[in-house]
Amino acid sequence: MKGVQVSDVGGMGPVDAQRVAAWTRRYLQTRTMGVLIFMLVFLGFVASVTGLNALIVLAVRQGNHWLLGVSIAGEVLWVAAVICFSVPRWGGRLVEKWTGRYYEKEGAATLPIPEKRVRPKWIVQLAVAVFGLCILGSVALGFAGMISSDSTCMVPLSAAYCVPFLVFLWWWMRPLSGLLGLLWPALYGLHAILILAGAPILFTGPYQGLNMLVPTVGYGLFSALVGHAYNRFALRRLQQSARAGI
Amino acid sequence: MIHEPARLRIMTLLSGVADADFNFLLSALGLTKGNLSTHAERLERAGYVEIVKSFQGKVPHTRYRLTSEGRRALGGYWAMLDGIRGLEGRRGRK
Repeated sequence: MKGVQVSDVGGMGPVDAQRVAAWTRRYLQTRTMGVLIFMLVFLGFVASVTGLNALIVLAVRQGNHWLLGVSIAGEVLWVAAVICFSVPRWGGRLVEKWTGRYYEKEGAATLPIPEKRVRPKWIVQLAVAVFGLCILGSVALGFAGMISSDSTCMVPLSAAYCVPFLVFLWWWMRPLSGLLGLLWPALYGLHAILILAGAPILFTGPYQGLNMLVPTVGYGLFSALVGHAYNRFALRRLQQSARAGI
Repeated sequence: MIHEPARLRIMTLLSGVADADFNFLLSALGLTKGNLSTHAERLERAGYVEIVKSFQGKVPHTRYRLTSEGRRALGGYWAMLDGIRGLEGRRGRK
């Protein structure tokens, strides 16, 4: 290596290498297309079922048996599709396939996971079980009339177990998830605090169903969109820093 | 071996990940397919990069990983470059 000129490597040095590594990490941590697809499909299902419900009500009011039959058949099919999609073996693989197609040109890379970060699987199984019990518990308490089914109570109550669970998932995925992964639980928690503080952010009347949909699917979708936008930016910065001087 | 800009960037990119596939390196570095293959093979021959070829369905899939020898060589290269820069800086001040 005698006679090496620093300019020979296009000014690239250890600092530039660190920059390339940092943008690579940020890019890989924000590949949120899978979450985005999952949320969009889920929203599509919710919208379709809501639309079909409205059709059923309309058919009953008008006494239109033909419309009633078609709407009920459609609803049964959609609910079956939702159940199928919720099974990780089917829905998960489908989302994985679509995500793979989207990122095909950009390729794939794996972030290094330090050995001390490899955690036993039972921790996540326990967390999922506790989360499931919390959902069942809150629904059961609601049905039993022990807690109000009003959104003023239900949204903060759901936040009490959803936010820790989302933070846990973020921690579990580390270092594969970046700080942007905390946006969803942060917004959810803030939403619940604002409701408790009496802020006028609750939907009323026919839109009441949105009170649970906004912090769960709405903020999830928003966070995935922000993550995706940042991912595009990170890819450009990665390409710029990795190609500099070639 | 590492001093060549394209090879240096392949190794730099691989140093930040556990492994990466052909398309990832291609899209990040903007090299041609032939160019990338040639440089990667040279790095493999030098023992700096491990290449694993497989199939995803019927599509061939190639993954690249920096070996511990490659990691050491890259670290040594940066240290040497820092040394040269330090030397140039001292000369400039004189």
